[in-house]
Amino acid sequence: MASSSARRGLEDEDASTLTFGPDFQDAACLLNSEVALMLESRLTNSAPSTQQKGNFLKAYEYVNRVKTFRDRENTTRARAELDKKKELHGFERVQLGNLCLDEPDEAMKLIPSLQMNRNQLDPGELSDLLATLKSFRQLT
Amino acid sequence: MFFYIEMERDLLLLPQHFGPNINRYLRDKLIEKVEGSCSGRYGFIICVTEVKKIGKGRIREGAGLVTFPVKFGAVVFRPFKGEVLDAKVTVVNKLGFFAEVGPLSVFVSKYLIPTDMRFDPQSNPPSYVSQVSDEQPMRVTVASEVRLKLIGMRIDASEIFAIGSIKEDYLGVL
Repeated sequence: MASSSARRGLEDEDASTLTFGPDFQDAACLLNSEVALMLESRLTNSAPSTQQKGNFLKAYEYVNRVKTFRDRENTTRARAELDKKKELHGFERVQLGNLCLDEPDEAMKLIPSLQMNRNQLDPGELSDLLATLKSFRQLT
Repeated sequence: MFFYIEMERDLLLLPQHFGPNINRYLRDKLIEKVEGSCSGRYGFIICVTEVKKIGKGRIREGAGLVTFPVKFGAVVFRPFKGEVLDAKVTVVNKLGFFAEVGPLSVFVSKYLIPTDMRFDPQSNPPSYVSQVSDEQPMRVTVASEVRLKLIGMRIDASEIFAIGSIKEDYLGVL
């Protein structure tokens, strides 16, 4: 029973229409750089003898490889910049921050929900945002 | 994508741990039990960040064990269909390739690789190479970084397996 309802839920979930199911619809999305900071502080705070689990290490290695913003300061600034765009869903904001795209067209293709009508973000605004995000990336 | 969410779990505690350190025992037990686990509902639980609330314990009949409902916040990795992710290739064969996104394994079938990329069994390790002649050939091989889109997922009780595609604009080798 539980598995069939889980499967049904899964079929409804689709990032391109911003449907994430009951547990994640309003969950806080995290930038890879933010996850890197959180896991880093976890590693430094835990006793050196404690063994971290495989998933933790895999995630740690992954976020440190792909993170867009190298330090805490740039991550905070990027997050502040993204959160100014109230018309975007949290998922879209984080996708924009994580993928570090060059042009609005690329963003529209990779994040199809940006093309949905309810979004009032025009290409000019979007390219400004992408340029700002890029500058945080280069400052490092 | 990574999310921060709040969850609730029931924890069993032995009577020998009742005492001034009970909260620490519960916390340790929670971390041991949920960190590194994977469920279809929440995805991969990477890290417990804080314990929000420990509810009233309930003694099990016939035994001294007590169940505590514990509310906590955690960082989880939960993939969604349609999401674009950067991944690292782990295995390449003639059917396609496997790539890793942190704890998640994604399979990209050869039908979801652009048709101008051919499997090259001669190379070591095996790879997919683009055939466009006027450019530097693009090569997908072990340890390559690719940008892919998740197009489907299979969720078991304790494992998530995803199917990805690099056959769209702006996807492929980074």
